[in-house]
Amino acid sequence: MDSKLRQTTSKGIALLLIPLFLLALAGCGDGGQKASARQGRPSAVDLLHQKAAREADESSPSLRSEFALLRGPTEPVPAAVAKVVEKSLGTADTGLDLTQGQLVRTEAGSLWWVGGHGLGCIAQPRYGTVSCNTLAAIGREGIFLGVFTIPRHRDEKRRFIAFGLVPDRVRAVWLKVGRGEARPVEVEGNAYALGAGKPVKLVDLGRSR
Amino acid sequence: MENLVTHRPKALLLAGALLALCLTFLVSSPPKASAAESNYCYGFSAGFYQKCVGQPRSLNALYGSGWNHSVCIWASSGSGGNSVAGSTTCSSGPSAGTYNNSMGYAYYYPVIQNNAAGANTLYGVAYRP
Repeated sequence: MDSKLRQTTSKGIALLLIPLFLLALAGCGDGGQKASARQGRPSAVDLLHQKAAREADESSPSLRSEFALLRGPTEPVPAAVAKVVEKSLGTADTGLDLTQGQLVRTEAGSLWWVGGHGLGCIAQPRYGTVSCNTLAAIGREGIFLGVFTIPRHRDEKRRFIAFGLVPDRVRAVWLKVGRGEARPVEVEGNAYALGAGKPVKLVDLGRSR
Repeated sequence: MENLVTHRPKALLLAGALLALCLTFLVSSPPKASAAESNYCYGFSAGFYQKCVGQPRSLNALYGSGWNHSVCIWASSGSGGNSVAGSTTCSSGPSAGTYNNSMGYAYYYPVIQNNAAGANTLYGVAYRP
C-alpha cells in the first residue's frame, strides 16, 4: 500500500510540475520576451537594405521631384553627425552617402538628411537619434523621427519631440499630443517639428496642396 | 480503508492539477485590455547586437531606450522580427530614447535591438490608441 501511495504521490507531483514547466517555457509577463528573443547578427540597417531590395521593383518616384528640400545644395555632414548616424545604426557600413547631406532647420532643432543605396535617413544630432526608411516609402509617406529625453534628476520631466519630412504636396501634418485631440502643424521646407511634455504622434499627413 | 487511501490522493491530485492549471492561465494572461501602454523586452539584457522580439499585439507606436548603449526599434509583421513595417528609429546612446509611430495601427511584433557589441539593458514600450 505504501508503494502505491508513493507512486500516486509521485504522479501528483509530476502532474503539478507539468503546468509549471509549461509556464516557465511560455514565460510570465515580460519574461515572455526572453523566450522569443533572437540572437541575430543583421543590424537594423541591414534589414532596411533587404526591405529596399524588395521594394526595388516598385515604381518609386525620384525623391528630388517630391521634396523641394532635396533639390537644394548638399554638403558633407559634420563629423559629430556622422558619429551619431554610425552609433545609432550600430555600424559604419550603412551604405549612406555622408558626403551628400542636407541640413534641415526646424523650430525644435536641426535635422540632417542622408541617403544612399535605396535608403534615406534623418538624424537629429542634439538628441542623438536617427530614423531610416526605404526611399520608396519616404516618397509615399515621408519620414518620422520621435525623440524623448531621459531625465537625469527627479525634478526633470521627460520631453518628447516629433520631427519629420514630408513630400511637397503635404502642407500640414496632424499631430496628437498625449491623449489630446489631433491638431494641424504647418510644414515649412518639407519639415515639421513639435515638442511637448507628452508623447507627440503623427496622426495624418493632412491636406494636400 | 484501502479504497479511502487510494481515492483521496486521486482527488487531491485532480484538485492540485486544476489549481496549477488555473495559476498558469492567471499568471501568463496578457495585460488588461484597457491598457493603452504595455512593456516589451523591458529590462531585457541583450548581448552583442542582439535583438529582442516582444509578444505580438495591436499597436501604433513604440518607444525604446537602452541603459548602456544605443538601440533601434521597429514593428515587424513576422515573429523573427526581420521584416520592418514603417521606418526604423534609433537612439545613439543611453541619454535619449527614441519613438516611432510610422507603422500605422495594426497587429505587430514589437522589436528592439541592441546596437552595440557590449551588453545593453533594453526598455521597450508599445502604445495603442
